[in-house]
Amino acid sequence: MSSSPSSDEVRRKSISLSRLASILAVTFAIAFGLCAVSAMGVVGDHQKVGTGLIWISVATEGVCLVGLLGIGIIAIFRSIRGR
Amino acid sequence: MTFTPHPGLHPIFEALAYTVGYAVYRRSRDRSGDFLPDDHRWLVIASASIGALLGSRLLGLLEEIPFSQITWRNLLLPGGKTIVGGLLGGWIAVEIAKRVKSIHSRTGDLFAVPLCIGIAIGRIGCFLAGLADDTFGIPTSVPWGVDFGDGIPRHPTQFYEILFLTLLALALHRYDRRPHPEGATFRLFLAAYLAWRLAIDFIKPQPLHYGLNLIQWACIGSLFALAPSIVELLQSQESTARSFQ
Repeated sequence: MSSSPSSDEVRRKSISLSRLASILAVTFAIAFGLCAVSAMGVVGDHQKVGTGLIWISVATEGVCLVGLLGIGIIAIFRSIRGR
Repeated sequence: MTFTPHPGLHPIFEALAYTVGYAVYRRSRDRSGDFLPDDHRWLVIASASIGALLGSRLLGLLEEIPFSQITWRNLLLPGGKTIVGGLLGGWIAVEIAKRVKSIHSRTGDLFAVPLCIGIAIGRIGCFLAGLADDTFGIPTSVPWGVDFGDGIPRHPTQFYEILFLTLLALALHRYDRRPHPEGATFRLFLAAYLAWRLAIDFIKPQPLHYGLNLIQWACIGSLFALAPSIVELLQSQESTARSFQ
């Protein structure tokens, strides 16, 4: 038997969604900083380490971006259903 | 003073800035309480974070236009991020989210002091990055000029900003403990920081457009947008003071 979620349950879900969005946004910002710094250090022997870090940072940024887009889409669907 | 830059420490101080800023926010929220329910507060934080992310990058990219093209690749790969863009992006995003969710109260007071502390910590990383970070000042002959490794003593503008933010945090902390209109602490923080950046950027070697750099133009535009709100705040404080007399 299915029952509609209580208002507390809905509230808890929306809190975790906003919290997740904040964490992803901050992680993106830090990864971007790491990416910028790795690029500063790409000279001579550091080249291998630098480019490796750049791609790890870009991958992290990509994951965060996809996560944020996903959260945005879920939030839009929720607000449509809420209406 | 000669100094050996350590750009690798920049992201460490950036992460530290977010962590300490969040810890200070939690502490002041626990101490002074919050009129916003948890879900609304998290919505404000999430929109501020995403808006700050987009705003800081957007203004950073616009600054780079004279040197490079804006492409999708440039959005993810290294380049500039600006604090002014972050503050304005966060501010705009929160106002949009509040309008969508019909939140009518002012929500920024709890963020004013944590932002001062966070930015000040982040600026230590900017200083340590030296010439690799675009936050150093123009050449100078003052005794405290710092040579970041190119043999030219420059204004340590990052340290000037740390000093300014420390004083601003102390003043805002004192102001916040007294009775004040809702949202006043944040508006004062934003106006003070934007005015500071407008002034300090005159001693930074940045490309100018019609006499000012892009960040200074953004500061002027935002100060104009903030002006009615600041005037309203001053008027309400004047009338409160008069009613006490």
